[in-house]
Order: sequence, then structure tokens, then C-alpha cells
Amino acid sequence: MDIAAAKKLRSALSVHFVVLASLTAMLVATGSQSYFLPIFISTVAAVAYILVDRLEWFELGRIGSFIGMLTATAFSIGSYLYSAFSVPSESGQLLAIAGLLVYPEAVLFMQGKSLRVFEQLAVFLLLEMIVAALVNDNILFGLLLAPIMLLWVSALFLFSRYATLVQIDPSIDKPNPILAEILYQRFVKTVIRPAPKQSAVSAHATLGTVQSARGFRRALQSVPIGIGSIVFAAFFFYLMPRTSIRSLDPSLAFEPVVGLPKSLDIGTVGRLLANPTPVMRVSLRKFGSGENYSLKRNEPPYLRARVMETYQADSNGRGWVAHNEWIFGGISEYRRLRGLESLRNASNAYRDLVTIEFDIKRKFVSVMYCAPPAFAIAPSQEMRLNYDSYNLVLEDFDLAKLPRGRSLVYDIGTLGFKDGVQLRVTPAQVALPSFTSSRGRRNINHDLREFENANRYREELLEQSQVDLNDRFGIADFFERHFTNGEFTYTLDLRPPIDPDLDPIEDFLINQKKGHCQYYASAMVMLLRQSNIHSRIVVGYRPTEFNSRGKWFSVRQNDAHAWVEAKFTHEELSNTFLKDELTDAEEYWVRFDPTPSGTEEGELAIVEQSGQTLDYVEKLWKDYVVEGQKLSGDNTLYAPVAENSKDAYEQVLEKLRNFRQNLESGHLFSGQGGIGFEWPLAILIIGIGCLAILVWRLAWWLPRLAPRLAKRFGLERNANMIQQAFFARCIELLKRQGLTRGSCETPQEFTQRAVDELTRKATRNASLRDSLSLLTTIYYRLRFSQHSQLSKSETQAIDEAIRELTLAKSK
Amino acid sequence: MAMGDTYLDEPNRSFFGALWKSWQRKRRRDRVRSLSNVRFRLTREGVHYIGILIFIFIGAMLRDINLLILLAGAMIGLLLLQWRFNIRTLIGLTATRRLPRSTHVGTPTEISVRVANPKQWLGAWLVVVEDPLQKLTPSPKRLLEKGVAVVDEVRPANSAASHYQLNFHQRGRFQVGPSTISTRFPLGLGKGMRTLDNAEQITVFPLLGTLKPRIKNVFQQEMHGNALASQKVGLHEADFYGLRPWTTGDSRRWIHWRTTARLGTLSVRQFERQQRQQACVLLDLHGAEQRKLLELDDKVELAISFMATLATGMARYGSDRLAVAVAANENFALPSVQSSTLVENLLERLAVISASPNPDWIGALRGITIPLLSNPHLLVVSTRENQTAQLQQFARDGIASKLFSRIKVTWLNVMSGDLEPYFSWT
Repeated sequence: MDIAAAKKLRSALSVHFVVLASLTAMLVATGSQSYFLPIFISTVAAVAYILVDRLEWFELGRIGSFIGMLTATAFSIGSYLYSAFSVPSESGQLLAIAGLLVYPEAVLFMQGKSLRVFEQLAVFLLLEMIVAALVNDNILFGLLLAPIMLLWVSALFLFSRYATLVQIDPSIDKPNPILAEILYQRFVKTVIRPAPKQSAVSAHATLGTVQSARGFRRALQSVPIGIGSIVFAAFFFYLMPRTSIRSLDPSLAFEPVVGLPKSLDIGTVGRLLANPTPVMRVSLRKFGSGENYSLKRNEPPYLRARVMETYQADSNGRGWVAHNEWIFGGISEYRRLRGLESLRNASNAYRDLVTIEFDIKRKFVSVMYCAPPAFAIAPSQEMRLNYDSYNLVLEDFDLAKLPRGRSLVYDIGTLGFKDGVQLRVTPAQVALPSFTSSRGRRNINHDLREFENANRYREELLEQSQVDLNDRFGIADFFERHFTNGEFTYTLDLRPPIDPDLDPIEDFLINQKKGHCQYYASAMVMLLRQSNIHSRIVVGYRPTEFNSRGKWFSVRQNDAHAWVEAKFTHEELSNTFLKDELTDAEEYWVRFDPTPSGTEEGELAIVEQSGQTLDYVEKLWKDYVVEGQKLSGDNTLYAPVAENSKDAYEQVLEKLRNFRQNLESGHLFSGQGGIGFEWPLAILIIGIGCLAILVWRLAWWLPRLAPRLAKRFGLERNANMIQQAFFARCIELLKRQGLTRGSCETPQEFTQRAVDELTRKATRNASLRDSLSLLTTIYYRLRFSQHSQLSKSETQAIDEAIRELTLAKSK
Repeated sequence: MAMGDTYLDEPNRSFFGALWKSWQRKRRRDRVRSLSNVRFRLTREGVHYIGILIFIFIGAMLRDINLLILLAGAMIGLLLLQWRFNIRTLIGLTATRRLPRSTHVGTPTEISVRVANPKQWLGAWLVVVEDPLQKLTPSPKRLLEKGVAVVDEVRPANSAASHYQLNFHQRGRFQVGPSTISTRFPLGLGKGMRTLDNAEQITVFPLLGTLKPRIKNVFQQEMHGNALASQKVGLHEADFYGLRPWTTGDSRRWIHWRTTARLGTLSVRQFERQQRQQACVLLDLHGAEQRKLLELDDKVELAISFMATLATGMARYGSDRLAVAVAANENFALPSVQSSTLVENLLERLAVISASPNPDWIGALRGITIPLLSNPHLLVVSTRENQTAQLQQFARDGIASKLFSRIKVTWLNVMSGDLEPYFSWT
């Protein structure tokens, strides 16, 4: 192998590592949402490939490499410490660790490539894959894993070739010495210099026959090996027992909590509505059967998260300040969520039993969601759900209890639906005696009459309307319709207050008449409170994107919504259109949504999720790979194996049993339990068979039809192959008699041996010997002489000889 | 009865017979495989790979991180593929070497290696054939150098060749092999190895130097002996010296038909040409035992090289007759070294001799008694001081006193540089 070929091999390896480094950094980036590292390493690697490997304009020497490595390490450690202590963030620390791997990679790319450099790059890239696996939970990891595996296999092919050649001829590799070697050569070897000894023999290997890269062949070989390893990984993954030692899984640090905040100042929801980040997937299923529960009126469901009933409006003497906020001012009464038997009142109303599964992404798990009235469906569920039956919300989740890298998945039951419609009425629990005197009671009853402008507006509004002032539900219903009748418009484009002296809600109500859901809910609660109707703001999500493949709602941050809940007695609602939703409870919370639609089409409707297939695949990836919660109900040791294998074995046994019965009864191919004849399957099998035969025949004929093309595909004809049909036939006939041509035998030697063997077996074979001799002679003449044409007499003689051989075989 | 016979005649065609045969075949195949002795070893890159794999695996198991388990699975898969591929590739693979019987010190020798792959489906790639080298005589030792050849690809049911070059710097008999065939294909994480039973030997003749023109002065006196010898030669230009098997290029006229008829294979006569000069040379290698020395003694090598050059030169020109006696760790004598075959015999023996603390040079001289009778001028090439007095002493006491008393000795002591005017290594 000459220098150019070795250089070509090194160059091909460099290209592989450049692409691998970029893809691996991209893997890290998809998990961390920081694209600096892939851009950085891609740029540096590409520049290094051009300038260092191709053009050879420069390369980092040993001193430069050490300085570069030290700088990269110091910088990465610094950023790690900053992430650990200044901004406590686990993902930040992992990113810093990724940097600790990526920056030295950049230095390695800048060095002249040698076996050692490639080894170090490989180690760094593998470690980076670990970081990528830690920060990643989306399908992109799976999608990128396959090409990365194939690239790794291809790179390892090249690496093994290069390492083999270096082993034979070390002069093709010029490694940059490590520090220990430099020190040794500088200080030790100069003092004790061993006398050069001439060995008895010097050996020199010849690498002239070795090719450099073999691109196409390598690609052909990489694919099956890469796929094989992925298949093995899949088996390994599903058969590997899990330990699930949760106690060994403390978080590295706290993560910043995002999602719905505990307080709602003016504009909070507006900020949420501008953020399309996915929060969770919510699926509704029928309780018991597990079938999808579809919503008939095409109305997005209301998913409840928080309740806020206290409005903190501070005045600085000059007027209302803009940052007034809604908070939850009461006392929570969380108890363990009980089962269906606790909702006897509601169940009497023949409501539908619906199971809701919440699959919340990790960074949003601090808030729990429900749809009241809720009940627990799995008492043995590992996670304990605490429910405040007065406020109808679940207790926030402690993030530290969640294993790192996991999302939160839980199921609850609800009686909030009937005939595919989410009901507006929820039975209210009577407040506990201690609650009566509490701050919560005061807050919820606070009439907000100090907002005089709003109160005046309300009085004028009621005077103009024909509403019976004793009909509390009628007033509430009027207010809801007042906001949605077209006078108010929905917008996220908020303007500065027209009258700065007014409270923002009053300003919205009287002057602006434009805003988003938070304004509408706040204004309606204010009007209801001033009308002595107990009410509160409810914050949650109202998702519209439905994934029809996976049958779930994809909830994003911009699905955040605020609506109103007002409390009425059974009597107040008994004559309204909500009477069918009532149970035998004394009081009810009724949902009002005063927010007008923000779209020209009218009311919000459920739409098909865009890119739902990808989301579906990602969900499968998460369920079956990243978290594996679908592998088993509980994550005990060997549970997946035991559970999977139990079903699998039972199914196999059952199938075998059926097969035997059908076999015995002679109904193997009948439709009743036998082997059903599937036309598509049969066509598929026949098609694959035909394709295989076609490929096989093509591989057979290609060297004859297009030798150059065949050579390109590595299918050139074997130089030792018999190219004359009659002699090939002769060899085949001899093979049938147990005589096979050895790989080192010439045709003449073989026929001679054949004659000897046949002579030993039979006595009369003079004619056979002549036949073989004739065939061999003619074959040699055609093969090695200029005259490649057969005369008529020769053709006849060949036919005779072949016939003789055939007859000898039949005898 | 006839039907019963038919049934009994074909027991192997039954299902169980076929099964039994198949099982036997499998057993035989397994035995062959177990005998094939294929070993698997991790390479340096493989050790790094395993280290990272263990790190990933432990982390994945302890913290139950599924993506890491997936990654570990893929890595283990690659490692298993490497292992199986290496083992499968090497089973049945054979390597044959084409090694010359002899060579000279300093002459590059090309060794051809052919690797044959009997498997029907699986090819072999990047097969490295390593031949360890061992010096057998003199001063046996295992050498660090290896002859290495690499074969890029061996297709199924096919063979491929490669070669490497050896350059011997010392004379002696060397063992090449047994070959170790190895491959780290496809991924380089491990290396499959298999050692074959194909060791061969090669004799490395001493280094041939250059005789300086003054060497004629040493043999000046032997011209007289030449004249005497010529009178005893017959009328024919060449005399029948011996018989040897026929080789390509031999004339048909040289065939000795009577012997050919007796042996059944062609035999030809071997000739020695008419004698023009008779020279008697004694090589006296005195020195420490070779096995106690780490390296060969340069002066001893110089003396041996001189002897080899002298014999080769005289045989090349074909005009002189040389009688050689060697006293070293073993004694031997060749009374007439003239043809290339005889020179080769001499070189072969010179290749393996070594110095002795007590060389029996008198004993060695007995082997060339007859040539000495023709020409009593003896050239002694020695690694010690002149021992002519010892010869005289022996002549008085010994049986062949008459002969030895006539010998006129020219003593060249290599140690004191007596050989420099006549011979150089370069």
C-alpha cells in the first residue's frame, strides 16, 4: 500500500468521524434544546477535515494539542461548576459534561490523524452517546440511532482495516506522542541510550494487494451488521430484567419548574398562550373496557389544574398597580383520592364512567390535572393521589419522587361526562366546619364591591337587561352571554391601559373590551361576586389537537385556559337547562366560560393533530423504550420477563394445542382455528421469493452480461471458474459420481485423478478415459490458445464424450 | 423374500437412517471445529470498547435508564458479531508457504503465502498470516521479528496469495512458522487467531564477500600441485563424478541409462571438470562456545565468510579444485569442492558451525589426506595464533607422521588481521 492509499483510508475515516461527531452532538442537542454544540463541532470538524486532512495546510502539534486539551477541559469544568452551583440545573450539568467531551473532540480533529487520535475520538464519541441517552427522551434519539449505528459499523470497518495495516507496517501511521513518551525520550532515553542491535532477520511486509477503503463493499457489509446489532439490541432490551432501585436514583439537582403558576397576575396566561411547548398527552377511555371515549359535540375538554379565588389588588394611593394577581387564598383539604363508591350521588345520575390517562412531560409534572368529579381507579397504583374535594383539584406532585428522566403517567376516573359531553355541573362538597371560619371562606365570599367602577358597570348592565335579580343562575348565565355576544373580542395583542387609575380588570371591562381568557374570567368572577354569587377562577388546559392514531389529546402550553366556576344550590338549578345534570347533592359548582372564540370559525373545536404520526411514534418510543412503562404494570425485578413470557408462552402453547387438534381432525387449512389462508401474506411470500430468485439470477448473470458493472458490485467472475459449458458439464457429471475438483487442482490434474478413481471402481473404462482426455484437451485448447472456435467434428466428439460420461454415471 | 431383501438392502434411505447420518456428520464437523483451535482475543480498541460498555451497562442497570440499556444492547450485539465472525472466518482456513530451501545472508528472500478458504458461503477478509522466526543453529533463540503477510480477501471456495520479504543478517538454520492466521475483520474490536502446523526450515548461508587479487599469492605455490594433478586426468575433458536425479535443463546426453532403467526414474551423470589447481584449506575456529555468547563473534564470521567466498569463487570459475577441512564445534572435511552442488553442501555446513574452545584441527586434516598428498601446501584460516608447532609435534607422534611432516602451512590469523589483504566483506 502506497502513501496515497493510506492517506485515502485515513481521509475516509476522518469523514466518518466528522459525520459521527455532528450526529452525536445533534443527539445531545435534541434532548437539551441547545444547538450550540452540534453547530460548533460540525463547523470545527468540517474545517479541520478540509484544512488538516485534505489540504494538509496545518495541524496541531503535540504542544498545541496539550494546550488545546487543557483549555477545553478547564472551560468545560468551569461551565459544569457554574451549572452545579450558580444555576442548579441537571440538564445544564449534563450539557457541561457534553461540552467536556465535545471541546476535546474539536482539538482532536485539529490534529494530524493517527490510530491513536481515531481511538480517542471513538472513546469521546461513545461517551457523548451516553450523555445523549441521559438528556434525551424523544423519538429523534431512536431515529438518529439507526444511521449512527450504521455509521459506527462503517467507521469500525475502516478502523479495523487501518489498524491491521498499521500493525503490519507501522510506518504508515505517524502518531503524536503522548506526554509520557515525550518526557521519557527527553529525560530518560538520552541518559541511558541502548546500543542499537541488529537483529538476525529483518522482515518487510508487502501491502500492495490491500485496497484502501472499498466504499461500496463496505456499505454492503455494514448494513447487515448494523441491522443485526440493532435487532440484538431490541431483544436485549426487552429481555433484560430491570432492577428499578428507585432509592438509587436521586436527582443531581432541582430543575426549574415550569407550567401553570400558582399565582395568576395579569398577563400570565397571555405569556403561556404564546408558548407551543408540548405539556402532556391526555387520553379518555371508557372505564372498564378501555375503549376510546369520544367527545360528540366536538368540544375540547376542560382539564382542571388550579383554583384561584382571591384577588390581591394593591393600591399605592395613585391608583391600581398593574401587577395585581389572582391567588389561591384558602386552605387545602387534601385526602387520598377515593374510589368510585365515594361518588354515589353522582353515579346515581347515570353519568358515564370515564378513565383519563395523563402522560405529563417531566418538566411539567409539578402540577396535577383532573376532571371533576374524580375518583381513583387503581387503589394499588404506586403513586398516591391526594384530592381536595372542596376545590376539586389534585395535590401538586413532588418532583424529587420522580425518577430522573421519567415522565409522570397516572390514571384517574371521572364522572364529569355523559353521552360524550363534558358536563358543566359538578356536585360541591359541603365545606368542613373548620373551613367555615377560615380565610378561604372569607376569600370566596368576598364581594369585591370596592371596585366601584365595575360595580357601577354591573348595575347598569343588569338594569338594561331583563334578568330577574332573584334568579342567581340567570344572572350568571347573562354575564356569560354578555361576554360572548360580540361586544368583547379575544386578543393576545394587549394594549396599555386606557385609564391607568383603574384596576386592569375594570379597565378591560369598561374601556378595552379586548383580552384573553384570564381577563374574561377575572371580569366575570368580579361581576358574580358583586352579585353575591360565590365564584372562583379555574386554571387548566383546554386542548384542541386530537391524535386520532393514538386516541389522545396533545396538550401544549398555549392550550392553557382560565374559566369560571360559580356555586349554586339544587333549587337554583332545578328549573334551568342544567337540571338533567343534577344529582341529589345540595350545592353544585357550575362551569362558565366567558371567553369568546379567538377564531373566525366560531367556537373552539377539536382538530386533528398536525404531525400526529410522529407524535404517535414518539409516544410508542417513550412507552416501550425510553421509560418502558408499557413493559409491565409494576417495575419489580424480572417483572417484564415474567409477564411478557407468561403471555408469550401461553399463546404459543395455545397455538400448538390448536394446531395439534386441527391436525388430528384434518382441518388444518380450514378457517375454523386452522391455518387461515391469507392472500396478502401468500402474495408477499411469493413476491419475496421471486425477488430473491431474481437477485440470485442477476448475481449469476451480471458478470456475463456486464463484467465491469459486476466488478463494481464485487461480483466479478471467478478466475478459476470453468468458462466452457461442456467442461463445466463434465465436472458436474463427475461430481455426481463423487468426484469433486479441489481448489488447488488444475482441470487436467482433476480429470487424471478422475480416471484413476474410476479405473479402480470399474474395469471397462478405456472409452471413459478417452472421453475425459478429449474433453480436457479441447478445453485447454479453447482456454489458452488463440483459436476459440469449435469445428463440427469437435462438437460431435464433445457430444459423444458427454454422452459417454452420462452413461457411465447411469451405470 | 425378495421384497424383504430389497428392504434390507436400503436401510439408510429411511428417515432415521438419514437422521443418524446427519447427526454423525454434525458430530464430525464439531470435532473438526474443536480441533481447529481458533482463539479470540480483544484488541486494544476492544478493551476500550468493553470498558465503556461496562460503564454504560452498570449505569443503565443501576439507574434503570432504558436508552442506555438500548445502547448497551447495540454495543454488545456488535461485540458478539465480531466474535462470531472471527471464529467462523478462521475455521477451516489454511495457509501454505513457499519457502526456498536456502538463501544467503543479506539477500532479500521473498516468501509467498497462499491462503485457501474451503467454505462455500463465507469469505474471509483482512487475513493476516504471521510467521514467527526462530534461529535453530548456531546459538538458538526466538526472534522478535515476524514475517507478516496480509491477504485482503479470500472468496468462498477460493484462495488468494500474498508475500513478504525476509532479509537475514546472520547465517544459520532458521525455523519459519508455524503460521498464525488472524483477522480482526469486520470491526476491529477483537482478533481471531489460529495456529497452523506448517513450520519449515531455511538455511542461511554465510555472507559472501570479495576476494582481493592478492589471494593469488597465497595459492601461488599450489600451481605446482596443479600440474601434478593434471597428469592424472584422463583424455576426456570431463570425468563422470556421480549420479543425481534429472532436473529441467539437463541434457539428454547426460542420462545414465543403466541406472535409469534400474531405478525407474531418470538419473543423470554429474561431472567435475578437468583439474587445473589444487588448494587445501583448513578452517580453524577457535573461540568461546557459541551458546555462551549473546552475539556471534565477528572474527569467526569473517573466517567463515572467507571460506564460503573462496569455495563459491573457485566453483564459479570451475578451474580449480578445493579441499576443505573445518575444525570447529564439529569436524568435517570435503576433499573436493568443485561443483555447485558440492559448494552448496559446504555452505550448508558452514551455515551452522560455531567456534569451539578446543577445535580438533588435526583430526579435521585427516579428511583431506589425499589432496594433501597431491599438494602439501595447506592454507590455515584460524581465529588464533599460529599453531604450526603443534602440527610438528603431532607429526612426530602420529600415525600419519610422514604425511604431516611434508605439509607446508600458511597460517592466516583472522584475529590479527592477516585476512585483510586478501578478503573484504563488502
